[in-house]
Amino acid sequence: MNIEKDKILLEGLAKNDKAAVEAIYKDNFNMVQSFILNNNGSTDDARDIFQEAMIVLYEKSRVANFSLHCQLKTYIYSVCRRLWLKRLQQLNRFTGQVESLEEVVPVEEELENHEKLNADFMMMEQAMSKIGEPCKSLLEAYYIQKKHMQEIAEGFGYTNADNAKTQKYKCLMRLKKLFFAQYKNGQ
Amino acid sequence: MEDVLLLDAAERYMKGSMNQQEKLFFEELRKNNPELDQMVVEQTFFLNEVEQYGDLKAFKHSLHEVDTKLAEEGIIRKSDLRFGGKVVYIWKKYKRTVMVAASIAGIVSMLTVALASVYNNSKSNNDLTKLSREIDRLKADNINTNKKLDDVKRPKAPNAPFISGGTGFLIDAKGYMITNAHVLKGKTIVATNQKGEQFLAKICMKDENRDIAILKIDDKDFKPFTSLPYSINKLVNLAEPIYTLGYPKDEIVYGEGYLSSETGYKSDTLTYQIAIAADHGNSGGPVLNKKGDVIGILTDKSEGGAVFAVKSLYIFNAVENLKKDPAHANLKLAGKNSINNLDRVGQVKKVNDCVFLIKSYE
Repeated sequence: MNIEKDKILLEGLAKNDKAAVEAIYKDNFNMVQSFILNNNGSTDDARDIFQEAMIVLYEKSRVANFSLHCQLKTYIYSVCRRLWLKRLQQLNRFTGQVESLEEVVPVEEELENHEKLNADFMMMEQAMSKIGEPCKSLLEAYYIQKKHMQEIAEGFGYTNADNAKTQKYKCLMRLKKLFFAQYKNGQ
Repeated sequence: MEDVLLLDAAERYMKGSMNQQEKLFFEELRKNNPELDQMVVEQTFFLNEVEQYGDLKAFKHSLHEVDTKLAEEGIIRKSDLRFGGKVVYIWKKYKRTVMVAASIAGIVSMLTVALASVYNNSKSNNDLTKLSREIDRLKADNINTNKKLDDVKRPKAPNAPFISGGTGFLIDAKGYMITNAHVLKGKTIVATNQKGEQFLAKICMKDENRDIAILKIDDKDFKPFTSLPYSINKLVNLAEPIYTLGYPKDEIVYGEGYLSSETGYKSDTLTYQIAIAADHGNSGGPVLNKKGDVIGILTDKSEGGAVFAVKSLYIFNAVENLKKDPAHANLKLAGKNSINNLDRVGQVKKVNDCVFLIKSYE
């Protein structure tokens, strides 16, 4: 029954369904928080780590044919534990033993993948912040919010959709250039 | 301008919003024009990145909203109090600072006292002598302590050749270990882990007939494990892959093979016959299946080269018997396998720590 419930939640998560996000949050946040608090962390750390784990889960849930080989709770705990150990090591606050009362499953592969996706996200964010307005809003309206060109033209005050399209093209070229410049640097 | 049209066409092509005729035309164009083809590929990749960015951003936004909502409703983060939350955290975070501050305070007050007595001429010399004597005494104490510490680190093995040896492995995180009875011919037992740390162990029981013995590490340097990575399992299958870890030399050695018979030498039901590379020092080592469960204790090698392992069933029996002794009533066999999902290398990394080189001395 748990497996069924986990499956439904994950399907919701893949679609960014708020109810699913909230349910997973409610069921697992406090467990992660006690783990972080008991291991030299603060409530803010707990929130950061938990949210990052949620992103890892979200990324995983969107891969076609994916399946969890353990309980959702175990998975979240394992990811958080790995992330927190890493953070402690980075901060040099690692004090040796970290308790592991719960069951842990290996998550290295997912975290590697997550790091890559995260790097892509940061590069895109950087590039987006550099192209300036109205380019940013224009591109977001078209490519992310998937609005129609006609609607966008009206919203931004272009006289016709074709002009907006030309502008969008120029903006996209700039974004692309900025993004790939970082992409090549990063690889 | 032409580029705008081309890109627009490429986007519509990707979205699948072209009609059949247009699509065929465009595909024909792609085929004949590598530059266009490259552009479509690049554009697809890039728009994919943009889309992923958008989705993730939206997801982060939901996370933030849910977090705020639940915190406002008091469903999350209320557990602060239960853990002494902030106070504990602040203490942990500033522990070092507090310690430093405390020692500075200590030094300052000592200096003040010293200075005060210097100025207070009447008793100064007397007090200073006392103080310096006190310091000398502390120094001597310190040297003593260091010496004791050195003693502890010195090897525990008696200065004599060992008379028998082999391998042993933990069956209880508190330091109970199992091995073969024939490994323990002497009375002083020293167990060495793969890091080279030595621990004294005492024999709790020895069953020569079944060639099983249970040891308990009895050494203040030994830190009990929180849990053992493997469990003990009675179920075996003919031909299943197995592996072992042991000390045929001073370093730990890994060997793998398969279960060749459910009975041992001349159909002895006490043991399994296994095919594995093993040497004398492997005696007493764990035999694990692919899940990382212990299924037996590596025991013997016949003249023909066959290797035998005492069935894990007899570990259970030996433990049950030993538990009747009130001194060992709290012995608890490792019960939970946490390396099930790991690959072999990962499993061995964990099991390694629980396998010891055993040497016994007169």
